Amino acid sequence: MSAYVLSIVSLVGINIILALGLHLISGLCGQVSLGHAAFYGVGAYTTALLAKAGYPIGLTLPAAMAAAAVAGFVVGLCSLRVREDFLAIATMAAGFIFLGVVKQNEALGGEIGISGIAMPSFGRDGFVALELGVTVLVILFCLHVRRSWLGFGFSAVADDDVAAQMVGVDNRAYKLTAFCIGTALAGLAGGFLAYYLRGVSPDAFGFTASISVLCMVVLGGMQSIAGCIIATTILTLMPEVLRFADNYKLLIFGALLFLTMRFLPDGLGGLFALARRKEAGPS
Amino acid sequence: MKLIWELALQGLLNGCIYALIAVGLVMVYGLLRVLHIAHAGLFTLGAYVSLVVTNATGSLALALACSVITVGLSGIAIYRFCYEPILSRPPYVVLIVSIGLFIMMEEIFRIVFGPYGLSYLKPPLQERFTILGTGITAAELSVVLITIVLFATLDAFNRFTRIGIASRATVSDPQMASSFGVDIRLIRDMTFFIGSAFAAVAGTMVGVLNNLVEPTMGSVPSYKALAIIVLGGMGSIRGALASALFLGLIEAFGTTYLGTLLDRDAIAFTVLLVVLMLRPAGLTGKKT
Amino acid sequence: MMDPKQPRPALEVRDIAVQFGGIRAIDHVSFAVGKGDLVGLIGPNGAGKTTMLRVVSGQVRPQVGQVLLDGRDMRGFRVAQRARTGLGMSNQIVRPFRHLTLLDNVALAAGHDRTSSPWVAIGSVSRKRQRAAAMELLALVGIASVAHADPRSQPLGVLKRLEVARALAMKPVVLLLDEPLAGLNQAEAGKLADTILELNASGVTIVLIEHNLAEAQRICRRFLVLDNGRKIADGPVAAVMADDAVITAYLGEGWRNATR
Repeated sequence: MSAYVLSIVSLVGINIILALGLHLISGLCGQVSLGHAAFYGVGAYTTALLAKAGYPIGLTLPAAMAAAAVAGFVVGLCSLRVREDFLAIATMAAGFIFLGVVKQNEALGGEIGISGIAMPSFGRDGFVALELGVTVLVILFCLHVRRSWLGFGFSAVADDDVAAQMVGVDNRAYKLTAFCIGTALAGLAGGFLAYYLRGVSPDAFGFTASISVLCMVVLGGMQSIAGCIIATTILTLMPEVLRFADNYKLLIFGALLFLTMRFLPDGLGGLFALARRKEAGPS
Repeated sequence: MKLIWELALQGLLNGCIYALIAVGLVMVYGLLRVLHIAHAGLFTLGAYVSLVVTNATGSLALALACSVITVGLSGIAIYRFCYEPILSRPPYVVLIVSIGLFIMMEEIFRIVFGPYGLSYLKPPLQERFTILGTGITAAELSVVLITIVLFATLDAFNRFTRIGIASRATVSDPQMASSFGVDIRLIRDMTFFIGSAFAAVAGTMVGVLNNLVEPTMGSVPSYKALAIIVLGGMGSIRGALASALFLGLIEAFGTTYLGTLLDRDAIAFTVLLVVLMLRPAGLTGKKT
Repeated sequence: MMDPKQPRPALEVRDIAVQFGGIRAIDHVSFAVGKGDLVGLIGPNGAGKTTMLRVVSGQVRPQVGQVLLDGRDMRGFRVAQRARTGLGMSNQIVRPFRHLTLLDNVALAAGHDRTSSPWVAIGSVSRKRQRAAAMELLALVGIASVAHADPRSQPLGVLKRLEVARALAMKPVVLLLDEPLAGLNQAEAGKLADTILELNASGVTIVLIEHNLAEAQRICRRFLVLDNGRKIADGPVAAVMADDAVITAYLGEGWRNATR
């Protein structure tokens, strides 16, 4: 495979990990987050700092996940006090605060960020293989969560968190768990991104990035993991395919968000479900 | 001491602008429980219409009138075509529709008017006065006066006219209001018109103050306005006015005294998060 | 009052007081519900019934007083913990999980040992046993034929029964039913009331709030009447319905003195 294809494929992998993290929080557990990119950023910066200090990838990535999960736990704790649209705004606020702290902090490279991160010792191909392997593991993990009683509990909390408590599902513990797992995945994606770009800069983790991830999850359908993966792949490849339309990239993103939610609120996943029902015949 | 006066003035100005933007969001939220992010796109639209008309005709007053009408009608159009059909969906659906719409509007402004922003050919309202030893331009003074007049008018309208009272009734209980023969759709159209018109005024004034109208000028105020309606207790116009001024002042002083730790936006959102944690229903909100 | 020689009550409420702002919603109310009883908590609008139910379920924290479930003090227990300890709750306004089938709505409750903590939950996948249990409960309340349906497509009568089945799946020490008959027509209400009676006959302790006094009189063994946040009567249904204070609370002061 050419270097270009490898680079695109690894970007797709990173975005799938990132989007599945948000899928857990917003899709499965129903807690809409407008600040997911902040946890992506926490993971990327943690990795960048540790890698610059000479620590190996076997340590930087788990550290990135842990740091992002801790941040996710704190935001999750805040989220327990507020509901629905208030929650969306609180997570958005968390995103802006992350960006503000990073930009004003010289130790984190300020507006410029951190550059000059070395590729792991096993080289570019080895890195891509590792990253894709981890992506597959993450997909399998998310499928397991969905099938398990944890996913069962998440769907109850997403539907009606008062009723969930009445059947013994502790909505607070479940929301916190969703936040921790989802943000840890964002941290993992951020760690890979830091190696992939050989550096980090604050612009990659702003509100636009949060919205782009949300777009992937929403387009995929809040209920469908397969939809989420397909939507993420399409939206990651689209700017590459539509090079000529680079000027309109964000316009297309906005239009997709708008049109999907306005006319197809269950996203691609909803479309699949509809197709399956049609195949099964009218009943 | 002079610094404090200047910071207070800066905070007051920003607060007024925030209040003019937030009032539309508050009214829409109160009526429909929709977080109308695309409102910030209307704010930018207002700024562009005023600038283009002023540069063509030389009259800011005419421009402001055009802006208010165009933007007000656009607000109604957004309600009818984008929100009304999906109101029964969960709140995040409408929220994301609104975000998508806002991104599209920003991009259309960039493509139509160019990414670098436009300026007034002959910047209006540049005369300078001295009040309490502090210099102030006519534009700055106008912002404060317009805010006072518009909010007083809105308050009177809501309290003393039939349609205003009907609209308050609709906010507290739409079914009850509709059984008394209140035309809910009319109330909603009117709410979007008035809220959007306020945003048009805010956009125009920001364009005049900075002598610059850019495609992205709506983003930061829009997120701030969300913070304001949360602080103000979601749906309360007076609460929004108070918290807009509060936030304007906090930012002005915070940027000077905390600027090395956090930037201006982060200060605003830190305050928002702290308030949300302490009072989940907002500064002036009732406990549910 | 409970006789000390009698067995421990299923539910005991001691001296509960709740104040909202300046308004006293519940004014030092105590009562006990013995095992196997079927108690109707009744009273005019605004009497404090719903607030009392919310105190018991853990949604409202009282200023004073205790709730004991099977002898255990529920202080500091949130709703989910109370549910797992043995409080089955149904809602007046039905709250099905919209994205789950009727069967899974009940299976989720039947698997409350699996969902007790996220750590336990992530380790187990099979729903077979819980679905079988859920099927039995759906049959018990008479809606097994629509077990695989989407709740959004079902009429209120079915969803009201779903509420009961879901609460039963918690294997409750006490079943709390909040206006189970509200919104149903007379025939449907009568049938669901029969189902409740059968459940009680099979040994389930039930406390229900009900506005449909005719049906409540028919099925309850005992009435507990609240008015303006105070307990004004507590005893066998017939005695309570003949009680002056109860008649006054429902019909107003003029009733006793009025000519026949």
